[in-house]
Amino acid sequence: MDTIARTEAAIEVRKLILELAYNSKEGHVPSSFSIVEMLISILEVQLSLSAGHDFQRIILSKGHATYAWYAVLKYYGQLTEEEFRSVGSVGSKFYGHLPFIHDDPRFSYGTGSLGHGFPFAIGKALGSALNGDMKPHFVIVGDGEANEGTFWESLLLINKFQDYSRLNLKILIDSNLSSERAIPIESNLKRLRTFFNISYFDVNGHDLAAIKIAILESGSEVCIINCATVKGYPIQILSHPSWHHKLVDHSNYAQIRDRLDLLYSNQ
Amino acid sequence: MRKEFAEWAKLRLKEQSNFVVLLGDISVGLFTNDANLLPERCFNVGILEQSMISFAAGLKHSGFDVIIHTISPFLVERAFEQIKVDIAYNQNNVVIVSANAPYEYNKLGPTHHCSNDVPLMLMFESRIKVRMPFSSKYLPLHLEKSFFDKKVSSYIRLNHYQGNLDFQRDLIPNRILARSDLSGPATGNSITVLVGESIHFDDSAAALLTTSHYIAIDELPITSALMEEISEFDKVIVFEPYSMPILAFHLRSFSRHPRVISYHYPNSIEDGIFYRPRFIQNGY
Repeated sequence: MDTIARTEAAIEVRKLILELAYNSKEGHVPSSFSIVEMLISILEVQLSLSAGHDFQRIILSKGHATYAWYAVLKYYGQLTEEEFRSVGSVGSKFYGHLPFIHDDPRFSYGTGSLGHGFPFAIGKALGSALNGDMKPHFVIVGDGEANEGTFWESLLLINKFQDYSRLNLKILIDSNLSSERAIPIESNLKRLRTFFNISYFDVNGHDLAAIKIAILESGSEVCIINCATVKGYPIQILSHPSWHHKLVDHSNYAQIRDRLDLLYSNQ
Repeated sequence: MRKEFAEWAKLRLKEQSNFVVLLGDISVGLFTNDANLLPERCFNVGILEQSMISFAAGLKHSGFDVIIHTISPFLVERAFEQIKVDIAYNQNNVVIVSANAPYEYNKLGPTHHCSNDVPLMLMFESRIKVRMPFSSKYLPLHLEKSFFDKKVSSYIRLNHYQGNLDFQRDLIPNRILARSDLSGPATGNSITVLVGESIHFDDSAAALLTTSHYIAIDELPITSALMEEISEFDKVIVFEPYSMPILAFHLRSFSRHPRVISYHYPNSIEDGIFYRPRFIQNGY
């Protein structure tokens, strides 16, 4: 895919997120918007390395961004129209956080509480390595999620098991700075480069090429990719804290969608 | 029981290539060899219980059978959300082995007691089986059964009690037996229900002498059929070595209304620091 086509994917996925939020009267739209390029980059890398997408190797620890997950599945033809329409409706197995659906490779891990997916992903990566499978695993964590103790425990675990076995785990941090008003974390995340013996990259989290390059440059080793993102990108109003869990109604749905169309037409 | 647990686990590590043991910096000396090395796939992951649970779930998801082992309050109460989300809700079935019964670190005070472990684990009764082996003799079977049953996780509570070994010779777990099987006359249509380590205590031994039947239970939840059978007795005395009288509560809800006298552990902090396990009575 060329650059314009990949950007088209990013815009279309955002439209799907918006549609989900509008239809379901639920969803964390800005948090979902900020990880779109990260998800698409991971899927692009998977395609380039092997036969196809493998959603089981992507752990969305930032579970409230699940509408991005549904939207990406829909865009790549892994979610039916009926399933898409059912999100958030009474009795549906798809809801506002990553669902617990057993034996479905699209949803191999469910969560909504922060801090769980990172250590889980380390266990998965180690298990694969012990089985001789060095294809990469990916985990997406939020910078606010890095407030949780398990984020730092996970880094200790990585340090321990790097000596034991190679771990091919890419940790993508969605650094949208939305939690800086509570516990400032950005400067501590940047110190990960020196504190832990793990490869580290700072990238623009909305630059598909930059994310993909960082993933590929890390080879088969564990690495941290600190993705500088803007919450709600590319829609400015969505970066306001009041939009964190705001419902999408008819008027702001139209407003945001028109803005997305405008941005795409200007590419 | 920790020694027997370690011996079983070390043998399993040798025999099964997809078997992993995670230790929370406890019982490590029981696993190391003369060169102070742990066996292959046995890892001391230190004191990060919450991440240890999630990490174990990830290993399970990659196809390994996993045992997690550390002191019960930190394993169960501290890491409860990880047990809830990563093990129960995500159905990554592992075996959780706590190092101690509720008051085995008695003089270390309430932070190291855990009488809430069984009630908490039973919140996921369709996903987690609770096992309380009476003594070392019964432990290997519980460990084997835990891994044989792939559909659920298991929580195994180790204890150090040896207790009444004569009594244990005649024990058939989870089956109602007439007390005349042991000695003395039967007394009315009554039953003593002994859960887990409660078979070792003087209180329960005294109650046992007053009933016609008894049952020693080492797996929870029990089946509804067994619950029905127990409720058929006119009087039921129940000893439950944890902080809530769960079986007694269920028995009282049966339409036959057996007379239920229940004993359970107090919650540590309510009764301050004490140095031996004791039961408090609840019932008419």
